[in-house]
Amino acid sequence: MAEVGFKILIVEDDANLGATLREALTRKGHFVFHVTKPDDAIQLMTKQVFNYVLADCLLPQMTGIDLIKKIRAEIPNESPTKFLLMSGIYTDKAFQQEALQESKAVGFLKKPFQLEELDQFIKKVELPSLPNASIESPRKRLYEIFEKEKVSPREKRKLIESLEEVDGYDLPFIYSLLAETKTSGHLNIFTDRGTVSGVTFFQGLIVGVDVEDQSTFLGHMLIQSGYLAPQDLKDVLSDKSPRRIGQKLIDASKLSPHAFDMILNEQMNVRLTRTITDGKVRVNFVSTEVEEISPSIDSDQLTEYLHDWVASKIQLSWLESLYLMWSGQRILKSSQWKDDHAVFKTSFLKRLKNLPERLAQGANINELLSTDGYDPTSIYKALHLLLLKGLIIFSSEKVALDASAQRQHVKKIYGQISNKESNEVLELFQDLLASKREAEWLDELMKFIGPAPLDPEVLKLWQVVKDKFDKALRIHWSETDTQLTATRKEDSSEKKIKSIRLMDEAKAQLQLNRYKKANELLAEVSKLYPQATGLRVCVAWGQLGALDPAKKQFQLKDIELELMQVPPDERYDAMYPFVMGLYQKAKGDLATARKSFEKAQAMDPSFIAPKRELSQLDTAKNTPKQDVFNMDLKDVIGGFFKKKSG
Amino acid sequence: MSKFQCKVDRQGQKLTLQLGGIIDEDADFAPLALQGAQEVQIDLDAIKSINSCGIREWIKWIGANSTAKVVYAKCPKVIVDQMNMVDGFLPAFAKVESFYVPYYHEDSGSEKNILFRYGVEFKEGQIQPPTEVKDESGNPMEMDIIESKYFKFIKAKV
Repeated sequence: MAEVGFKILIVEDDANLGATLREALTRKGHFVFHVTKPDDAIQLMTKQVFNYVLADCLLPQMTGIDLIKKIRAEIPNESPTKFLLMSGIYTDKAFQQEALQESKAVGFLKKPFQLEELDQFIKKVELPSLPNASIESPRKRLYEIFEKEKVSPREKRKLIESLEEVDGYDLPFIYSLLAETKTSGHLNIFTDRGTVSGVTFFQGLIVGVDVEDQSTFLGHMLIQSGYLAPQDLKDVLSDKSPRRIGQKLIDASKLSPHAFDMILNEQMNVRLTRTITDGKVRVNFVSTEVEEISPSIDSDQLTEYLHDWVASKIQLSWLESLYLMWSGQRILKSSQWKDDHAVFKTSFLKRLKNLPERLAQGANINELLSTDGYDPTSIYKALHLLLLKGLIIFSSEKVALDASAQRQHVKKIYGQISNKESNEVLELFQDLLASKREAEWLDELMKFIGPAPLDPEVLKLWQVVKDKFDKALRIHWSETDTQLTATRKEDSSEKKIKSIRLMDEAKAQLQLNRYKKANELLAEVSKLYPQATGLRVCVAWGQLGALDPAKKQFQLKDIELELMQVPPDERYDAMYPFVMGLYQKAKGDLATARKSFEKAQAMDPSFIAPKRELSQLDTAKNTPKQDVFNMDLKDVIGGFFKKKSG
Repeated sequence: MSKFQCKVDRQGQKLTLQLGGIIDEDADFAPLALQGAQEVQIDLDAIKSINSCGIREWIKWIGANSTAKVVYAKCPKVIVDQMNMVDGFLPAFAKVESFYVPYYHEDSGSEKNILFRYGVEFKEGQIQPPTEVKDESGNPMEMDIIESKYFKFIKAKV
């Protein structure tokens, strides 16, 4: 493969010669397009930028020199394409010199020419001044904090101020940095849909959240959090005085001011959750004096919320993509590491046994992924949380992979991309490629996968991965960005619409206790649109309905993972306490299950399922257990044939 | 904390507004109707900050204008950031007469805002910054912004 793969356009009216040249240059690792007519070349060049155009001097319609002049005039671009002329007829020196002068081409190749001659030209011309010099995006610079032991608060603030377009999933990191640097001001967030949201900080405390959808169902939050009995809420709601609901509850001694503050914080959490979306947002931070407002979200509480957001909002595939570039680098404890940090009390960290010890040994992500009992979701989410809190950093030194590590590495990448469409492959690697020129992408991807392995079995996988990269880049470069974006948007909207319909069907099946069908539908939704509202709760419900007694212990662990990932704003729907009740019931905790069913019923009296569960619990409670071994035989036999009443 | 303030000066069909303080949910633009004026000069020198509610209010207010020629003057960084990022914040009928550019000296940490004026330090698609900016102690200062991001609105228009 060539040192650097370039995008080359061949304009050659001899179809056979053009095809041969294309094939030979492709084998050299370049990305080559061939057209036979000047008009086709111009059309193609309006859609994409080429590093090189190889134009034959004698073309139909116009000469190669005229074509170059026309392209320069009609398609000015900031990173000029370099032109090479070629000819088998006009080969005398005087003509060459004149042609070069007139067209400002960088070289003249006499046909037939050896490919090495072309390589020499490229090396001589290209390498000293590559076009589109790498520009590091502010977002990429932000994540470089993950490799730095010390970054001053000013540097962090400046990094945030420099941001413009980020992923919605970057917001937890930005909130965490603003909190950590004790900053005051407003973070304004803009979406493509034209919505504007904002988060206000007072010396690092979050004191205000402004989102378009302000509804938070305060009553549901009070019941679900256990601060208020359903009947107390009914009583207060029947009071028609103009006071606010919180004030009414405090005045009636149903709720303490402290508990109400906690709920108001939770309300901010729900609103913050709504800002963390899949897709691009633009942000700008206005540093300013801000009044201290109570209640506010402090650092400890933010740690809990960060866990909630990382657990419930951020997709595993996004984390896999973000951490690809560090997958082989050692993870080190930072100077801020504390064994008793609040983050270690959060669920994902608790699920990974002996993680601090594994980190002390200098493990990298690939090694963690192959640790028994560690699942990818928990690993990526736990690491993300530790990095957001600055407790760990990546070693800046890249560790060379030995044969066994490369085997794991290749298998992992194969697993990640083998079922992906070409555009999804590039999306997965977008963070790795973000600061590279397009012409360097294949090289960067190949550097990432490493040299061809010796083991024939791994070599097969390596080849599949390489082909996938190659195909993805070809498709990317053969379509314009606008075309791609439009198609993707269309696909994504269709998927969303379909998933909403499937979710409704699945919910109906769950209500009818048809778990097999419901689970099939939910599996389809998970594939189509994993961010669908209510998906995790429904999946947990379906799994609880289809529990296999022999595997119950393991299944409950999976269900726990699903429930941990329910977003905060979905926990105030009656379905959440209901499914929590089913989970508690499956674990044998009937008293807590009853409370959960009662909460669900209070939140939505028309929801039949919790009512049914409560009546089953009542029946079980009222039916005395029969000790068949000490009963009269007549009663035992009689019991078998007794008619059921009602 | 400085609340939103506004000083209105109406002379014939020319309206001059001097805005200051914080543009947030409490900022009341209702008394600042632009209707009837042919020329509106908005002096933003004393604006301290703007939050998301303020941005929404601003767009609603300025967007309601249909006839007047609007000029933004002495725009502080917080306003320039919004002009660059938010559609409708600097509508097609509005022009920028002057805006501030933050400067910084790394070793001493000194900061200063320099006013860039139309026709002097900038014009359509062009920036001509002062050749030298020094702090109180005579240290040469550098622009404390990302130029491609901060001057974006000039590329689009002024």
